[in-house]
Amino acid sequence: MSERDTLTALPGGLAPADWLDEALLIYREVSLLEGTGLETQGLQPSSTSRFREAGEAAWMLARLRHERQRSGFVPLAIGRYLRDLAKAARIELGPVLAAFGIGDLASQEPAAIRCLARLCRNLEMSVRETFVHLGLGLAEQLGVEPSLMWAARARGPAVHRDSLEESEQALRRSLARGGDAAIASLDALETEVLAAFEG
Amino acid sequence: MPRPAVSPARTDLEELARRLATLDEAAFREFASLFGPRLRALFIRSGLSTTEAEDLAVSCVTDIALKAGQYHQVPGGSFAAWVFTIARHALASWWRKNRSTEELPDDLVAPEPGPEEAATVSAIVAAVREAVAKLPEADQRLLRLRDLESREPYAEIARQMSLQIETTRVRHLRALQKLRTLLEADPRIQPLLRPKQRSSGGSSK
Repeated sequence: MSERDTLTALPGGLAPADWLDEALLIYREVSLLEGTGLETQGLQPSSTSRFREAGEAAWMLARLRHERQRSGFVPLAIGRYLRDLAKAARIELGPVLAAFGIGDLASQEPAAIRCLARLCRNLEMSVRETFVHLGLGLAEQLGVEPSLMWAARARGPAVHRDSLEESEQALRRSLARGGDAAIASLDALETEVLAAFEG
Repeated sequence: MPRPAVSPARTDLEELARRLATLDEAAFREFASLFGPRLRALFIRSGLSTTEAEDLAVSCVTDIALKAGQYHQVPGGSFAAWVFTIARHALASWWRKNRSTEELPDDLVAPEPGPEEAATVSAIVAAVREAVAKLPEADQRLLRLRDLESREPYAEIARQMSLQIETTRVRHLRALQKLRTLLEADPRIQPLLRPKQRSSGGSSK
């Protein structure tokens, strides 16, 4: 029997089974991740820098997350809250903001709000917590932030859920003082926050 | 000669996973420098352009490093298999988001990995590794060149092994058949033998 005869006589025909193809693909790709030396081919220094910066941003985010888990929800405007977290975590906030495409913490542009909400999501904040932090930022911009007395009370030993609910109510009351335009801005902000969490 | 079941590199990766979970700053840097280029290469192999692959790899470096605390080593499992599972899902999400008007790849997976998926991937990798180790050295070499470590054309394999191209092709298919027979009897391969269940969001060809 020639080599060609043997080929056609193989059980299952010429083509390997789909499942075998998939098993070999999985093996090949996991092996690649385990390290084969092939991955550095064609890699530019700029790519190396990007990966390094991504690793550094991940570490800073992990530190921020850890600090946030420790401190829990505190009803502060997003800018102040993130700066306080970064200070407590002893990290620089700039690279983290840059990693999320955030240039100005006070910006109320829809795209900027969505980037901030994505960062909040990565810090494992809930949608409601994110809404309050960003809403307080908006209230601050409009000069209708809730009173400090309320904020101090909310920072006290109250149960977290109550604190969050109280913050949401106080935020909506404050924005109502700003008129229809302020309410519309809050609604727009809520839409962007929801989009960031759904995306 | 058959390769050791657990290479030093794999052991180091398990240690790296432990260090990531403790928020060791150097571990995050090491993870990025090791896995960034590997993920990029993986995504290029999967059909993304160099720029697309690099952007997705950068995003995965951050996401996966942040999830490292969720990784738990299981018997036969590996950190690389766990990373692969998450990366594969990130790729599926990327395809849905960026190429929704094109036909999606046949092996597209659900947006989020299930908890048992990394263990299944690890088991498949271990089954293939052990089955290959049972084959004659010449078959192992052929499979490494053609299927396991690279995708060399038959002409190149024939040159390296001093064979005729047609002979190389036949010997390769025989080696695949032996591997197939060994794997069919392995219960760890069963998840691949079951009909695929497609998740929502992905259209099939």
